[in-house]
Amino acid sequence: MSAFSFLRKPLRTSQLGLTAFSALSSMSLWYWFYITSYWLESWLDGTEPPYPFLKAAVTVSLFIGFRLLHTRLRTRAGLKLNRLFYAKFLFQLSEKRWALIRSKPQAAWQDILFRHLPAIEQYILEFEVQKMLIGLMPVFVLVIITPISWLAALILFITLPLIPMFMWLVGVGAAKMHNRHIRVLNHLGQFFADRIAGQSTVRLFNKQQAQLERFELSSIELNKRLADVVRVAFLSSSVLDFFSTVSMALLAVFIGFSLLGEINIGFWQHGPSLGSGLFILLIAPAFFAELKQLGRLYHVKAEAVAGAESWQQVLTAEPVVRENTPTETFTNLQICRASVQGLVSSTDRQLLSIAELKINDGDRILLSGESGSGKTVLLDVLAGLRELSAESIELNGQPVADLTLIRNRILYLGQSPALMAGSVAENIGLGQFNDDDVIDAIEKVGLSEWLSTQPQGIHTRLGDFPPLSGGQKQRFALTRLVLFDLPIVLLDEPLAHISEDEQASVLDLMLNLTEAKTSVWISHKQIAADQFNRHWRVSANGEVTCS
Amino acid sequence: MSQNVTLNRAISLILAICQLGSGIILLALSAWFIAACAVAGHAGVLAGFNYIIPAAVIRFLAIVRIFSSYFEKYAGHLSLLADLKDIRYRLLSSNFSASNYVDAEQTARVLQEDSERFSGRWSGIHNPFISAAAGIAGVSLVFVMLIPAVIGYWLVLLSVLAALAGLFAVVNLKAEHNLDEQYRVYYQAQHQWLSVSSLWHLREDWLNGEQVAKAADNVFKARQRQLLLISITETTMIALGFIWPLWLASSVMTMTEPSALWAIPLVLSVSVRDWFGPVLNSTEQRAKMQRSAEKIAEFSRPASFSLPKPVNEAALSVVLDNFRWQRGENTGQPASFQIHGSGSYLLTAPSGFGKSSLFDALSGELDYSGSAEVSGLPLQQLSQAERCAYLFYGEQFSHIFSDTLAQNLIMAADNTPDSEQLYNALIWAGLPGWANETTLRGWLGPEGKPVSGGEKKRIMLARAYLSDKPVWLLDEPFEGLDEKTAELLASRLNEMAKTKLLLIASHLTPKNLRITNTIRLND
Repeated sequence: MSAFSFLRKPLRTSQLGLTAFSALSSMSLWYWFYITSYWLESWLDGTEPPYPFLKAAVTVSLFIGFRLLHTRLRTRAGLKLNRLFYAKFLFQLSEKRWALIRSKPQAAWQDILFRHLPAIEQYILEFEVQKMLIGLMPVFVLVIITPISWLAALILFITLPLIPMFMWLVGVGAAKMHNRHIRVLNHLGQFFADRIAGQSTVRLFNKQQAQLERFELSSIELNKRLADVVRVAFLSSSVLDFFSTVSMALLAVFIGFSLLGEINIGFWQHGPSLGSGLFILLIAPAFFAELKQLGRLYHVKAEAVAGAESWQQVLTAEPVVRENTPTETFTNLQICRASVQGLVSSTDRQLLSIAELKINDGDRILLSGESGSGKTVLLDVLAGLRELSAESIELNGQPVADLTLIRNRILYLGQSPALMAGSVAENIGLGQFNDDDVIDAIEKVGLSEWLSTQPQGIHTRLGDFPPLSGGQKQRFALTRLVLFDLPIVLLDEPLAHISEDEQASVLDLMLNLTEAKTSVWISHKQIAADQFNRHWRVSANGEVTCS
Repeated sequence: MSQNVTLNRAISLILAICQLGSGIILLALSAWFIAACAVAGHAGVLAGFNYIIPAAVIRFLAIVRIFSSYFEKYAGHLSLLADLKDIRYRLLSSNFSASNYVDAEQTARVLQEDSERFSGRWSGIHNPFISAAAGIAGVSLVFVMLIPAVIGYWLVLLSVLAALAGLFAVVNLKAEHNLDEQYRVYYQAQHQWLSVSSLWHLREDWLNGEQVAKAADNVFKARQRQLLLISITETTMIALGFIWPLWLASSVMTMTEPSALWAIPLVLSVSVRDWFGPVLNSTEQRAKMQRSAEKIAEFSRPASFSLPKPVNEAALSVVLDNFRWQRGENTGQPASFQIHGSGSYLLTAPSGFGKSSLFDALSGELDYSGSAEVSGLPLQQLSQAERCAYLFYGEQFSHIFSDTLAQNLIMAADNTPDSEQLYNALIWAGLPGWANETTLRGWLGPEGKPVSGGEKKRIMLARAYLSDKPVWLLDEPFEGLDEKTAELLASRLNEMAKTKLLLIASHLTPKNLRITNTIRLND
């Protein structure tokens, strides 16, 4: 899984350590089997031998010791893996910000810590370790058994190629069966969640009973098809079951008959004894145990792969920020012959192509184009959140590699103003301005009257006052423009959720506050063209023309 | 609960017991067999030892085990699927019955997961536990009959294991709750942080996500602690299995006659993971399942649905008097107006008034105070079902169901329209390219064809056409449409306004929209 290479490399030693500890803890018990089997033999002979307590105690202690070491390593490695993953996650987010957040549905952000990361952790620290153990342990078992009984070893050895072969056959059959049903399974599988999500529509059409009946029918159909798939899929674990159970039974019968003298081959010259026979019987399950454990972990692979597919591109995307010195003042920007690719991979189609783009300090630019044409992407680029491959970029007359130098000097005003739980003062000043400044800003955006109706003034908490109108929310957002000295303002449909009554005054406020700044506007609503001194158009295929 | 489910459950339980039982017996019998053969071989008393039968029984048990293992999985899964269907049916029914004011999308996700987890309670919790108990009981019985001297020691071992399991159950439950709490804290922090991303660069600690990272770290640590707990418990269980024989060897076995039967307790003891492991596993699953069980109980109320009588002649009127919508603690502003006769009535109000909520309350999705009449009938005398016999409500974001296009349209009609009528509706709504059998059978929704905003509005229009109700409530029908589509929509509404009462809440008005009257909801 190349998806995980950034996680696997630092955890390689942990994986090896886990394999070693697991193997050692199992094998320390083999010695217990050995001494107890031979002791039982002497005991049955009537010689009343003392039990070798010291040796047994040592093996059990070794077992406990190795298990504890394994656990400690596992939890430490798990923590390390989680932290590595999360650090990358945070890095990408703090780099690409709302451009990244927008690109994924809300549910994905919830899934990441709850489902995907644990699955990936289990995959790397348990599944892959288990794969190593499948190679090791059967070999060790054979190495130990062969000097005692070559026939017993042979019985086990024969299953080695047969098990994977049959499991592969079953796997092919199961995949075929699954593919036959996959479309229907995907469709019908959504039914429940979909109808819960759309319940109000069902109610409004009075179709509750009808939909319940439809659910019943589709569930029956879904279950029938799932049963088909599962009937074949379960055979794979049965294959393993079959070979392990049959081998054990064969071994028991073979050893028993050898001890009776009915069978005379398979034990070299020294012949069979209860000690050696019982020992073989006790060790043999270890031959199959690791494979069985892998079977139990198999679902982890599917979940981890799903998680990787969702997040791999995001996490391994190239960093946008290459230099770290932010500019203080902005005078002008010029971009020549540039293109913008998709957010995460250069194999994505080209979203924008720019012939020549100029911005001077104080410009007010109207950005228009059909919906979906990439106007938002262009804003993201100007905000320094996306990669821009350009022939030349000049900032303040100096050539630069990318636009990330100005990314902390912008204010972005979108359709949904950023508001959080907390007091009015916190929302506006973000903890960096005193009360007076906050009140001053509130006045400048025309919210003084509203503020006077709030019981605790600027310390009223969001959620304690009635919901703000669209216009009021946008005024809130504009206070930050007043307080923080940011030279560049990017506005993405700022009037979208504001009623017609309020639009005029909010627009006026925006025009006033951006008078001395550089601003780029996307707006469906009519704003007088003479307010703007530049007009950029984005065509349907992403060509940006500037005038 | 359908009979099928109970029967399937019983079958898979029996098979589970069979599987575990045959495994244990196979192991014990094999060990005894070898020991007995050794004894007989040494003593040279072959004639007295019937070794054919145990050998045959061993092979027979192997087959029993293999088959019961497969069929247990299969029957168990069938039972789980049938159970899941029943659980989800109840949940759907309960959710359909009344508006819960909850976030429907979130509820959908939660219930989808929880119902899945809950349906696995028999195969994941009860079956392993019961079969382990049955196995232990069986072994105890065998001991009582064959090796009575070991019983005392056996009971001591069982008690220690039971105490271990009990302790684990208690500590694990607490760890599970702690983990839940950490997740909750994290999600709140993450949600907050993501919602203010445009402001991160204005605060140092926001830019590096300090708070979120800390919350995430707490989640990680809580999870690892849980892992630690499980591992220690397992290690203790296995270690006990290897220490108990030492006790036997030093006490009772020094005092009794050597017999091949004593191989049995030794072998069973070291395989403690096979017959006691399921008890620990089911305890672990039980803790995880608790949450799901609670969620499901919360959303399970029996409900029945009846269709209202069809409406023949309906007066065209909407009258509101001091009508205020209510959502929990929030109340809307009072609205009062009177509309009589057909036509398009534009409803305007300052943003924040809650026009959508007003419509929600009229159509029955929200509570209200004050009074209202639709088609001359007082709202309080009409159930939601009866109300919707008069109303078509075109929501701002109409839900496109995960189903065929045909089903999405049929949803809106009282009777079942045939293909011809569906074609007419699609053509009328401005989707002529969709009026064919193939597209009708095409799948929409999350796993289906993506639908643009304009197409969604036109589907809503087609639904309105098929529903043919006298009063239409339309919430922002023109939002997000390009000029051409908006004009088409407006001309269609003009058509309908001749015979219906259209109440349109919109802050956009296409030029060709004929408005009979504008109602301003100000204060």
